[in-house]
Amino acid sequence: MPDDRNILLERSLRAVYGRALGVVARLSGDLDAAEDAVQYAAEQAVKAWKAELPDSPAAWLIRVARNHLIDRARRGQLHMRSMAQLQPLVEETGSHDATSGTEDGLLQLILVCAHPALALEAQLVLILRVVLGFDVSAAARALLLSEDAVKKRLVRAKTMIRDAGIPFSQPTIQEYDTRMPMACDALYLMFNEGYSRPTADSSINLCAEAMRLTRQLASLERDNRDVRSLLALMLFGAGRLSARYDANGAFVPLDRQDRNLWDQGLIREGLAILDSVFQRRLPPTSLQLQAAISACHCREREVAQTDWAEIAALYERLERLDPSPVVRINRAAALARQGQVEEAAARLDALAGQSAVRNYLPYYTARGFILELQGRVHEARTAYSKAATLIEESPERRFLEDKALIASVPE
Amino acid sequence: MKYMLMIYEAEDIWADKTEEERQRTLAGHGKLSETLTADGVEFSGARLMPTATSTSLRRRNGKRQVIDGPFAETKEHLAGFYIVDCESLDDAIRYAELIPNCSTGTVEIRPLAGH
Repeated sequence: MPDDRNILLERSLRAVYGRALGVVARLSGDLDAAEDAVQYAAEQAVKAWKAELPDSPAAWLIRVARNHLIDRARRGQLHMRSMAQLQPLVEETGSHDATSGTEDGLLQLILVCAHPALALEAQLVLILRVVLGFDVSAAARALLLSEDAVKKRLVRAKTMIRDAGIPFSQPTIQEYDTRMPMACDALYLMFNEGYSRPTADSSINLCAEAMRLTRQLASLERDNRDVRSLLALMLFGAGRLSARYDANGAFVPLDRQDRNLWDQGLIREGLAILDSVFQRRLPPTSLQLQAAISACHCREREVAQTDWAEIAALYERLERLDPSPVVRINRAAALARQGQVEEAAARLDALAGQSAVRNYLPYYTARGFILELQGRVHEARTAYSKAATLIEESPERRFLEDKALIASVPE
Repeated sequence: MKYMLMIYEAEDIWADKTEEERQRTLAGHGKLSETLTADGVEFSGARLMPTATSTSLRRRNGKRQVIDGPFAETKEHLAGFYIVDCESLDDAIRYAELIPNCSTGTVEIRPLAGH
């Protein structure tokens, strides 16, 4: 079964690619060269691993990439700031199991990519592409950018890292604090990408990978509220994942999910973490409020018990910290659920025509929902149809197409 | 790597300083020199005279033009610089933070080419 073997091979590769890159980049201090080398090693792996998977794929990749770098440097093909830079590469070759420290390497690479000397918009692109292995089109989708824009930002960021001498060193405690929010944003995007595309074939389980990294960040930084809130948020999402699609693979929205399918273990863990965050009695951060909103849903065994007033109040506080369209849209939807349909419609209308929402899926689903509540069936149908055109073929798309059909049936 | 730490500041900031404030600023620069020396970092640097003493030169179509004044009419001007030879951008940022003018102007950090 060559296909299964290929999938296995590809999964093994993707699972260790970022970690290998983290180690090689740290050793060489040159992200671009390290990426080339790990890419080269990955191409070799595709050939070599067909016969037999190595015991430690990460160690294999690192060894091959490192040797490739050393070769290139010796042949003078590689611009190194100094030959001294090559030394750590040579020294670690052939030493103990090269995977020791790969986890640290990956986290460290994330924090390097969140360096404040890099333009804010470049940091996320860099983390998604280089560390987390998103391809350009997935990164573009996750960030609502064009593929061209993603490519341009990548090139600029890598040039900056190499030419300005951004180091691959352990950040100080103070530096951790300034870079952590960006690392959180990237991991959140990674989780969401996995959450919205759980059936994406050969990709590794992005949700599980994002959670694993967030857990590690949380264990490094016991006191960082954002990391802990993010972990709680992911646990709530993961706890509901098995109820998100029915047996036929159709998307099931939150209010129709069979809550017996929720993983109460994950949800309890998330609630405990979030409680400990709120016990610190500091003004809540944006991630903390988002986790609190998710907790409101997870606490209830019946959808009818959902405390929409509390959720709308949390969104109001969130909007003060982050008045972005996505927060304002969700606040409107929560108000509508709470029964304040006209207020909700007015808030959504205030966003109409803004370029940020013109092709923004959540805007049209919320709009369809509120119009439906108002009994404006034809307009609701238009909104759902527009929403369906905005996503690729997926269970969510079929759900929205169904909604468009149902909303078109006269009352 | 070698980095140039360029100190940009509005000129009246220095002019308006009291003698005591000037001494404090100079002491800050003294502290930076001590730190760089203690860390074994090679460095050089200077304070620049005000832009009233500036001369700008350019050649266009073979014609030499000498103009009095700075290159650009901006509010903040290059007031001085350091060149430090250190490991990475993070080290350069740490030293730049010790420049007292950080709190009144801006310190731009740029790597020197070929170092």
